[in-house]
Amino acid sequence: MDFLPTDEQVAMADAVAQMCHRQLRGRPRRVLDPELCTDRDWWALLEEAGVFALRSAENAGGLGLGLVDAVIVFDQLGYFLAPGPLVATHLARLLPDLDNAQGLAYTHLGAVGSASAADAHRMPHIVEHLGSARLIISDGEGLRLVESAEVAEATALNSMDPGTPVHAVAVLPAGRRVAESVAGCRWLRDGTLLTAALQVGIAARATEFARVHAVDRHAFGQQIGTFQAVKHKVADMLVRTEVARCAVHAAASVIDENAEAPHDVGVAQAKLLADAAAVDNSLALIQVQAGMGFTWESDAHLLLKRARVYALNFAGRRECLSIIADSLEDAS
Amino acid sequence: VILQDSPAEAQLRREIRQWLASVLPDLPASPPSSDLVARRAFDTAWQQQLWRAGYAAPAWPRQYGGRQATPGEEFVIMEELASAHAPDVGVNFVGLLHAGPTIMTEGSDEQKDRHLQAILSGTHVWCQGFSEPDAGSDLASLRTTATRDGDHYRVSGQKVWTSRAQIADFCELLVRTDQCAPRHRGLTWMILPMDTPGVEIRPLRNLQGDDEFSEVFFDDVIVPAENVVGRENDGWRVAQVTLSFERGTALVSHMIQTRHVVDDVIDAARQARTDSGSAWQDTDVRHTLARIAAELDALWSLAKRNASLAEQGQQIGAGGSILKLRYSEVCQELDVLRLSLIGRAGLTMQNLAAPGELGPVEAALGNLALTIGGGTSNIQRNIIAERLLGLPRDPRP
Repeated sequence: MDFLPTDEQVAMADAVAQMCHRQLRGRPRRVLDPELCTDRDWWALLEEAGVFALRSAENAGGLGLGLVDAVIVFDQLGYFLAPGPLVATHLARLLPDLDNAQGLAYTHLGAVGSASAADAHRMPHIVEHLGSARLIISDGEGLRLVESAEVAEATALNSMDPGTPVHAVAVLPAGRRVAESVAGCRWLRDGTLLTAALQVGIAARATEFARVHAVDRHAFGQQIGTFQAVKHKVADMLVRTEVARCAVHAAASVIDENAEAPHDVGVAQAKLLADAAAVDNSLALIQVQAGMGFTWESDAHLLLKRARVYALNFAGRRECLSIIADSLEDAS
Repeated sequence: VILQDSPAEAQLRREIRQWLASVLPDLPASPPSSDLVARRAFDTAWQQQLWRAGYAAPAWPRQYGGRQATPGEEFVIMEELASAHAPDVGVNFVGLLHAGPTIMTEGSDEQKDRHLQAILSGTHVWCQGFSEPDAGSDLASLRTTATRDGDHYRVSGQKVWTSRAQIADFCELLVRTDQCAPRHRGLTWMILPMDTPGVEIRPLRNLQGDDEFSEVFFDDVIVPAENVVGRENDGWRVAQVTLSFERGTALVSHMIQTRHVVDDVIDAARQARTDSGSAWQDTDVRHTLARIAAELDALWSLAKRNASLAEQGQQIGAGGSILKLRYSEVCQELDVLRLSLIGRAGLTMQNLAAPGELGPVEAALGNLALTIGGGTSNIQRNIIAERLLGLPRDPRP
């Protein structure tokens, strides 16, 4: 047993962090620019850092690494609110039937089927990054690919997260099947875990911003971090981050050690805790920054909004809770 | 990040499993926690068995009778002991986890010879004399005084929350030896034999109705100068050494026992009736338990990460505080859920489902100590904020 990242993993994460720091100037302001999602230089840098080729086989030009390596890298990407779509583009490299030319981005829409809420309420499908990425749809039988050009009527919406453009799509074309159910399940499993890793990064960033504010800001003649009402809130942010990070690393490690093992539970636990850590920490950051936290100028809202995007990607809270509860039933 | 056992760990796991299977069936029934004399006999007999088999205090160096286990191996031993429902450390806690390691690190050769093997073999039981009525979280404000008088000290004052003082042979005692020095500088760590004249023990009933801890009064108690561990007036540093041993693998057994509680809660939910069937069909119940189970598993991984840090020779330090803080809270959340499911069975301390075993009400009351003992949750949050995040310190006198 050795639950710590290896030196190589730490080095790779550092390299990604430095690249993000340089490009995003250490602050997420640049993510306000939706153009970055389609910026060729940015995608080339992600490519160079190995974000997408990380788990592809070495004879296919990949790095041949595992999920543990991937979650450590995605943790950093989440920290810097790196523009995407990151997860689906990474996952697409593992599907042999797809055109994986560099610079080609993929986005994902889950749970499209007869029982989807969108159909039931005649609500349009809300699709992220439709303008800049090819769409992968998961349904009960696997994955389907839809080219952006095939989508007949897509209306650009005013997006909640400035860095995540969204479109409303009334009718989705059938597209073409690119993966059967086994590969589809793996896509959802890995996508859920990588999204959880991004959330851990957001939770860590919120903790860091709150820490800095608690140290720099003075009130009543003292640093506000002196007051337990503030410092204990920040301590709890670190606790949520580290507990969620442990869950993500454990789930990744279990899958790397045995790809066939039942692992949905660990992944569900990781996503549940990471979603909560990212959203709760962003909210706590806004409260710690108080008036400043409510401004557009503060980065706090960017963390909150991205955390809420990721919370809606892949397995959500209720699905994770159901998976965990069912597993408890089986075990007892 | 590797969760699997190393070959050495796997081998150790097989060995201890085999040994436990051979000895546990012959173990006498565990006496009730309120019968301290019987508990001492039971816990020390088990400690002796562990010692003979080489599993007592695995992390201790070989020269002091341990097996010099790595933190990872120690983790495996603790995990196997608890999973097999072996007795936990019980009355040997202070000796094995506090006094022993402190004497090993700071004590004289005579002190090591006299005490270490006696602790390891279950011969000597220790208790803790740190906290006072006016010195709890603020330990450095303690006032029990030791005055040098030739080759001994005269000790007067009062300690409190001293667990199992009635059945202890020795006390790790923290006293003030310099009234004029700044508060952290005038303390001394000493060994007090509990049968010394002038030591008076007054049991203090806890909210479970047990006399598990006591107030201990000292009236001109004579302690030989050679009983000082470390140097005179260096007791604050020595006490930090003592407390640093407390949060390593200490929670491993408790965490495994809590897994069994999760199973009990599922049983209780299945048996509890609601308008629409069993409470286990209730979404609130399922989701609350699922969230708690997710956190418990994640905290188990955190315990492993702490052990891995220790394995690299790094101090767990404040990382132990994250585990202690959140784990103790989650345990109490699990108790709240459990009590909500048993309905009016919550009106008795007895375990109606499994007579003779620790009941949900008594367990929940006992777990209220988790967020208080070993550093309150407030103190843990201060430690996390100050030592891990570098936030400003609380105002101090």
